[in-house]
Amino acid sequence: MLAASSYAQECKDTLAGQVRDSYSNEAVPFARVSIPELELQQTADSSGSFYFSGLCSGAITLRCIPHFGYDPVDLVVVLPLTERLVFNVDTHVVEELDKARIVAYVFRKESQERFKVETLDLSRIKGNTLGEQLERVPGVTTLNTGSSIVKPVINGMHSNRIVVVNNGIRQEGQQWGSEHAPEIDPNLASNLEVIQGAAGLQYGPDAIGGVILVNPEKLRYAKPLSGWVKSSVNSNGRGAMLSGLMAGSLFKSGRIAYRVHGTGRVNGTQHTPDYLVRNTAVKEYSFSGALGYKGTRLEADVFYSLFATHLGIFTGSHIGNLTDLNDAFQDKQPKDIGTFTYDIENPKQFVQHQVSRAYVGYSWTEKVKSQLLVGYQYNLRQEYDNHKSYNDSIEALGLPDFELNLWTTSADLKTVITHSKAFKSTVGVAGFKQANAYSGRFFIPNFQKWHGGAYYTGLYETAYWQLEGGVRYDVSKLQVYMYEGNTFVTPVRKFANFSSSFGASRIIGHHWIAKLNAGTSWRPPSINELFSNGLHHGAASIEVGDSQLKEETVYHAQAGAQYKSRLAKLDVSVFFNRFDGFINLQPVLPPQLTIVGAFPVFHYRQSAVELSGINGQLEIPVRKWLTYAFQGSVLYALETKSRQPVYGIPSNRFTNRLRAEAGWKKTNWSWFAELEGTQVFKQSRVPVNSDYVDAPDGYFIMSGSLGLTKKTGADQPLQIVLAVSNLTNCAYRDYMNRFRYFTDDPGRNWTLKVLIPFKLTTNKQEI
Amino acid sequence: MKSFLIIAILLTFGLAACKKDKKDNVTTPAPVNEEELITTFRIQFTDAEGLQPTVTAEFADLDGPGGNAPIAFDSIRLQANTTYNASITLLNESVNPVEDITLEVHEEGHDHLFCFDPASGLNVGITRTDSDGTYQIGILSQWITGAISTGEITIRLKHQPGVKDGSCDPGETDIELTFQTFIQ
Repeated sequence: MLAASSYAQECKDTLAGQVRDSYSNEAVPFARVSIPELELQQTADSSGSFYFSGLCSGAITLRCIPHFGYDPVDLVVVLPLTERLVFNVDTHVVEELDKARIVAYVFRKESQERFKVETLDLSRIKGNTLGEQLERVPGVTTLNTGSSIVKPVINGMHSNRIVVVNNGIRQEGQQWGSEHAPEIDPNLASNLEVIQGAAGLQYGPDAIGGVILVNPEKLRYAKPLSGWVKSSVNSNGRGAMLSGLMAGSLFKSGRIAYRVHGTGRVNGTQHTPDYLVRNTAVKEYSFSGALGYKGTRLEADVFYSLFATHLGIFTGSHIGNLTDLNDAFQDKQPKDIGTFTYDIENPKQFVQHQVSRAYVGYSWTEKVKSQLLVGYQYNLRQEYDNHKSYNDSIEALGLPDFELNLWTTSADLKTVITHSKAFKSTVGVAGFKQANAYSGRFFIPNFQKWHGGAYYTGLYETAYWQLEGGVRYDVSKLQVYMYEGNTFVTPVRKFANFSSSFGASRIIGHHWIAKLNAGTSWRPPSINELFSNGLHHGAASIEVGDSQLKEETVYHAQAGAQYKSRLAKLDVSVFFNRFDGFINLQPVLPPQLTIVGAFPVFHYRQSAVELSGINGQLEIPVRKWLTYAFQGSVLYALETKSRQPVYGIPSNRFTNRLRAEAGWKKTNWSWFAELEGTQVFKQSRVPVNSDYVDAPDGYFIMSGSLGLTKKTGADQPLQIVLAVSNLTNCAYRDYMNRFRYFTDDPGRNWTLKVLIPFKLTTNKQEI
Repeated sequence: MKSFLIIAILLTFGLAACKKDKKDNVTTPAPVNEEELITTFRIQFTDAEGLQPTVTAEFADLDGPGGNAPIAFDSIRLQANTTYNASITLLNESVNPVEDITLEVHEEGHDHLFCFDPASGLNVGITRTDSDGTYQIGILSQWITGAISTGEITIRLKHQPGVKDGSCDPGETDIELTFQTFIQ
């Protein structure tokens, strides 16, 4: 409002135009036309004409909603304009939109929201890592190594069985390792999204559990500078985080836009309820920059991001041999209790990930759009063992015990064809080339990998029905360079297969949606599954790959139902996955004798596995300001032949949540409070002889948050949140934490978070 | 538009150019595993009085943990009622020339401790006879055998940087070998 009035004083441009249908070229009467950034809006007259005055020269975004229920159409206009503007909009498909169909559209849109996490809504997100922030999505849990390495798990699947897409680029790190978290700063994202079904096919054949999309905010063409500063401090580890993002456009035309972001985070030694966990400090930083151009038909951008993290690995987890490991199991708490520090000692990890991308999108016609995405990624992983060198001069160099370098160059070309308002197709080809080099201790060999795929996906959507389907074919070639004894060998493995997905959903009545989805996915065995051979420090086991493994194929089916009314929201889905050649580590007797004692031996083997489960969510508005929610997931995994359970499947859990929120009348302020209790059950379904100790007992933890928000002129509200996790300071160990052998999970943690948005208009700051 | 293109091109190429050097090694990895390993543990017993023959027992796993099985894992055979001076040698035989790691363990004696744990039925008394200045190390030791008996002896090398207190408890295990022992 402040901005609008300052405009009015200085600017004298006018804008006259007419809204017309892009097919019939006829006028569209009574369309709603607005200039959102100036908060101006009006309704076109019966001839579709509209008129704005008192505008400044330069670019503005004009928004038109042809009829109620339509998606808004944006048009960038550069003032002054000498002639009358014709604003073409597409109105021909849904001409007679009845109320029921509008309800159906809105309902469907809402039904998809549950797979999205808005990272700027501090009242709903938790933690500093991608994995933790996704935990509100039904079916998502985490796989941890201590408290700082967190990997997302979807329906019991993780690592190579899910795909993470960062700003359109498939993340290629050393994701095969369970102690290798995704190298992504979630602060870059404006939202995180989990997708399953046909839409996931364009990112690869191997999204068996699903695809996690990390979506940064769209570039702000012809929009004023805006951004936010996010900061938090937390008690457990005396941590602090500062992150900021700024985006806007350059030049008068507004056709060039930029976005920069940066984050820094430190956390010191963390504590369980009873003791400090030695060497658990973290230092992390990341930044990114993007620059884009948007014309009428051409859209292009370049993007670069760097993510780096220094992680201490809990000292007591690096054990010399099985005797040490058994001693660690016997101890109620680790022998070596830490003292508080921000310093990181060995063992530790340093991980760096760089992504560069170049994107070009071109609209051939209004219905056909092509997109080319070229990516270059460099991943560096350095691991330092606890073990010192026997030789002082080697020690003094401070070199990592092993280092992995991974380079990935990728290209994706896709074309989206909108046949009609209801029917949309996407065809594409994708390929990448990868090279890996190691130095230091052998863990995985050097290799080069070539991968290519082609796909088609189609989406047909009416008010009541949504049908989607897709097929994809991929070929993959892996060439390894290694020494076998003293002989240099270069084995080659080739893989090729189809993947597919088909789904249908239908809205039934006013309150129900039923969904059904089925398909196949596959993945080539990963490098460690094929070629690892040696002692896995920290796991105290010898892991042996099998270079003859076949690809892992899965046939999956999912059925779901959603209900929504004033009384409740309910969402239940049941899934079933049948794996052919599920690759996992299986114990092999006898233990292998080494100079450090005998170690159990595990081989990568393939077997048929069935993985099924239920995810459910229920939300009941108890009062206008109070909501009760329940979220639960149950998993059941079985090796079909041996009738044995499968190792490493998350245990069943459910969460109860109470959320109160309300606004104060006549102010922009509102408040919320939330209390949550999660019950995690003991994983009683574990295979015999594959673990050193029993699965830990179940546990119940509580968390809560309390906050104030204020609506501002910027895109996000101002937010101040006080949150606490593990409120009762309960000592527990989770089955999915690899450090459960050695130490408890973290104790109570208070976090104070603030998000300050800002937006600049005509050189005046408005908050 | 023009300025955008220039910036875009610079950015893309500038970024793609970095870190190329290590890439050349992908297809030609380093041939020898230069990792520092203890492949061989040898313990030699000499009769303090010079009467009995010298006894040597060895464990050797030339490619380190995993891979091929150990090529030697001897038992220890000592004469009854004898006082032996024992000395331990640690080697890395995976490199050429062979590296003697005993010297390095000796130099870092304040971080290391050998521990000897005979099974209860075995008639032998073991005392470490060397020192790092404060605590014993155990590269050198004295073994006094009693009557004829058979059993196991576990020999461990503990790495105890900053936590060495003369006991076997703290630290990380670098070596743990259980020798079948005959006192005959």
